[in-house]
Amino acid sequence: MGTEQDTARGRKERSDAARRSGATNVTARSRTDEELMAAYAGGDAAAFGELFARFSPLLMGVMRSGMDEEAARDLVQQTFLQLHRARRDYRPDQPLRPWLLTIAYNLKRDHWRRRGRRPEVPLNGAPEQVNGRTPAQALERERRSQKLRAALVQLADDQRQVIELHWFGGLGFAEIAETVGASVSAVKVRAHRGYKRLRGLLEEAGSL
Amino acid sequence: MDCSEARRRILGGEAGGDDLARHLADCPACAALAEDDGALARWLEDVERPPGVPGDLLAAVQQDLAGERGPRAGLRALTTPVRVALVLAAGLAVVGVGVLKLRPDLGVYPLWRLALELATLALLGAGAAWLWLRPLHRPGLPRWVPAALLALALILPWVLSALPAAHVGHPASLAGTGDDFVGRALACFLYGSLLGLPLALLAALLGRGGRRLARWVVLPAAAGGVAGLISLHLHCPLTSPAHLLAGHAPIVLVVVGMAVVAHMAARR
Repeated sequence: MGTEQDTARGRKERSDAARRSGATNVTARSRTDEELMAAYAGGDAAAFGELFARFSPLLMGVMRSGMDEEAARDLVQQTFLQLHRARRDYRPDQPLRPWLLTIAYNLKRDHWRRRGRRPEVPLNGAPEQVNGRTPAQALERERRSQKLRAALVQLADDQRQVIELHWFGGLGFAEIAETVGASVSAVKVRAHRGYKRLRGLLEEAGSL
Repeated sequence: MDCSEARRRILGGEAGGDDLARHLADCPACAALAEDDGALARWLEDVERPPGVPGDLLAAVQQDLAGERGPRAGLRALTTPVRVALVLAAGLAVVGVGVLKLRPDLGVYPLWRLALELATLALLGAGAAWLWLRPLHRPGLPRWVPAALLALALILPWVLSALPAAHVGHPASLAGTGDDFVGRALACFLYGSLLGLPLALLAALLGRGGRRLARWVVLPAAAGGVAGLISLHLHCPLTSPAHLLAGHAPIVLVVVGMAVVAHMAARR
């Protein structure tokens, strides 16, 4: 779960680290997200790999919510393609994370609309075998995941979107507001109502 | 205290403290998560873990990027203001063809009606083009917006054509009846369609819609068709509703239909 200050704090921490290292060459690792994107837009093809490394886990996490693995993977692939096509539209003074997540969410919304407005609830997915967890535990976790997905699809679109970005995406409310094009107070209200509704749905299903 | 710290405290069962209480009072989302001793937060925490990224995803993305070559990729990668300017310039050029040989009945055509007709069509055409070119990093629009705009672009030409004739006071406006009907209507239809098609194609090429957004390829087609219709309306003096319904109104519909057929053929 993220904070309103995460983006600015992250940028400052990375800049401070770069200065402390005394490095004369700014490596991809020490560059901020925004610097990387600006470099990529300016023709630095190597910056893309770092962008992918930084953002693909976030995008996969957001896309997996309410969708099967294959669809999520495909949409993340589409997101990076659209990032590439729109790279010259990016302004370095914009925070990159909400910029990229807006692209991702527009693609996800369009995907749902083509599928008849309802996100998928994957059935009978094979439980992932996580190191240190018994098969029974993994199966229980997968069952919980399915219950969560079933509950998420019943939320209003705007509430689900905010919860996905807040809990699964780790964004702060300021970034969420920028991503969805609403005010901070509006997204806070949506998150509150969404969590309340989600809790009610899980209680009805006997999960809580 | 921020939301991350509040979450850590809620999950850790550390519900006390004035700082947490102040945060929960200020953050309704965290307050909802903290209810019932953090039951929802703990449930969510136990269900989901940061997921991994498929190992072959980077390679797939790089393959996509490697395919972004050639003139079309170059057009799509132009900045949005440039893409919009190109479509606008092309649209003005299409309309300009009609201006070059203006209809001779302007002296008797009610100017308010002409202005209203042209302005309405221009807004629809520009709107369709903008929706198509609108960058994906802008928050999405409600689903009904492109659907409504497309419906209007398809329906309005028929409505305008079915209105009572603007005037019958100019000899040039009285042609296109009897034996002349089919020939005149067809000539007008071809004039408007052939002018609109290149603009539709240019707009389509400038769009960034991937395979998931290609269903809205009808938007650039609507923009092109409307531009062709505007140019025709500036040029053709015939005011008979029968002529307009036969030769003018179908332009947008046919251009959009051609875009749909082309899209379906390309998918096979």
